[in-house]
Amino acid sequence: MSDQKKVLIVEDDQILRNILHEKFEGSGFIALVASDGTEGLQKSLSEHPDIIILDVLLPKMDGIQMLKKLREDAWGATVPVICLSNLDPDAEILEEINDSHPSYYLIKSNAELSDVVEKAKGTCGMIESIYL
Amino acid sequence: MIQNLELYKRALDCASNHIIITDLKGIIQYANTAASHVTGYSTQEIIGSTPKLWGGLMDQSFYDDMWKHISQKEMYRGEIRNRRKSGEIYYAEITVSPVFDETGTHVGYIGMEEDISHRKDLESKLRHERDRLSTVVSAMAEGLVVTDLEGNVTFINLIAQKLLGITEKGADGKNIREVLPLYRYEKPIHKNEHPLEKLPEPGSICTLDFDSGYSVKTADKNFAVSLKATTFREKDHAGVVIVFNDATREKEIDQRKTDFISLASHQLRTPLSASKWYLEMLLTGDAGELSTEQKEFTRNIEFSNNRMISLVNSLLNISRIESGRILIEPQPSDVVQLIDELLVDFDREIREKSLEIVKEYSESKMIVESDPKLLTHIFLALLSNAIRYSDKNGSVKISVDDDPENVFISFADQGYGISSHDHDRIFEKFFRGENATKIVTDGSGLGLYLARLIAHELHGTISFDSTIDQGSTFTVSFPKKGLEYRKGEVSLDSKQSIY
Repeated sequence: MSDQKKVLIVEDDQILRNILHEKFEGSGFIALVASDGTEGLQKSLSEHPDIIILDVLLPKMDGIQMLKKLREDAWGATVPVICLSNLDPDAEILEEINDSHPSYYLIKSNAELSDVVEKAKGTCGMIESIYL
Repeated sequence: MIQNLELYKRALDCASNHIIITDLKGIIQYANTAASHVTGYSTQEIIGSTPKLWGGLMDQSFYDDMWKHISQKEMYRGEIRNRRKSGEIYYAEITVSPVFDETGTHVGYIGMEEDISHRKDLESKLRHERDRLSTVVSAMAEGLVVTDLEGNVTFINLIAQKLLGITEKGADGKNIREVLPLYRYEKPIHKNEHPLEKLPEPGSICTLDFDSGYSVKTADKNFAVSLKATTFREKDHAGVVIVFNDATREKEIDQRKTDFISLASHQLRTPLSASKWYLEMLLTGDAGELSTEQKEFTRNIEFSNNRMISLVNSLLNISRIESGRILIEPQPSDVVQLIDELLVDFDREIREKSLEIVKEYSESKMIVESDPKLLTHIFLALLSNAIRYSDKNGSVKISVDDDPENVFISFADQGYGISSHDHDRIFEKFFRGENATKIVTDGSGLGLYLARLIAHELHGTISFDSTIDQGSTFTVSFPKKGLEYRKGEVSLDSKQSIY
């Protein structure tokens, strides 16, 4: 299964981290997890996942900072990122985040889990491969 | 000749004013009937005495002045205080003129008194009332400004002078728009929003509240404001009364409350997301197939959880609008299309209640330059209320109409209606009509509040007409053009029913 896609889930809430892990694994991904921004950045750079699911409010280093640092790396500059947060994207966040080009900004409580997975699949080209 | 004299004497006797004739020393030779009436002394008592009989109460200088005039054969006029025989004090206007005989010799004086006690009494009462009113107005804790219908200041009380940093003289005759410069979210208000532009009918009140972002900004003053304006119209007198106060403290408290709601709502979303996702996994069979009953129970939990999420989203939407951070993106939008799309979303509810939807659209397209997302939120609140508060087999009539400047959209149901007792409070945050809470138990009381806040953002208004057990008609109106883009701020959460 060498074409299996790798997802990194950066989420500090344990319950949400577990369910995301379970859902992504169940949907054919290899799911890695990190519980803060520092760990998230370190795992991103060492594991080179195909896509990153990133919370915004995180301990140690918040999601916005992590995304900025990630974009400074040659590999990290283009990796697709889906921001998944319960924080509404206000003017400040949008301004900070827009230059870092996330693929989506989703509100957790408003998004279906299946929708998050579908968007991840679409973003990292898994949907096309399904139909091949 | 004799006959003529008799006639003159009778005329004097019948005159309503008190008239006396004296000789040069002031000894009274003649007094008419009214003189007796006014002073209380009989004609016999009066004749032969001097006016001191009922007078002499004024300072000596008054009499000196009078004598100075009349001894120089000039007429004297003045106001005097006298005493009737009963001891009662009365006020009179007196005229004293010299009398000459046919040879031109000065022979005496004729004095007339008009009792003006009643007038004096009224004047004093009036003065007292005026002083009392002016004391009350000056002591008011609110700023008070009165203008004519064009807005030119005719009165400004002390507090208003202090709040606006202006003197009475400085404000006199100036326009209220200059004296009281109104801002909303740090920008001068839209000209349509000015209370003078939408002059309320006498008796009704135009309110601008600090929690909708209003403030006053002059060269050296800047404060959150709550303001009420009313008009008055009398025969030849019309104008506007504006009462306002510095709401800085209230705004701070309100801000803390909003911050708390925002923080709490964001925190609530985390456990709500966890429940939502686990329920989704249960229902999609990720943990094995559920029995029919298990599925039904789980769906009920999911339904309640989603309602809670909606409620949290509503609270967040409110805190966003209240703080003026909402994104406004005007673009050509078809009102008819927006409503028809919403009707599709409500299809299930409409069919469940077998409601008849009557469309009265004056045009098949009604294009306005406004924000379609915000409009949809308003229509959503009004339409979902019309459906929720209707009985089975009822009808909901939706009308779309316009005039050259504005669009009018009405949602008329034949449902439970709003008791007249609740009319004043129906747009209040968290308020629900008494009958509504009994019939439809779930509801947050946020729908109409939010709808009105949004309508305000679009320079529009929402009005209603409702009779209990007969139904309600809510009408939203807003200008077709003139909405300004407000950039870089948050948008409202996507289309969702507000419970």
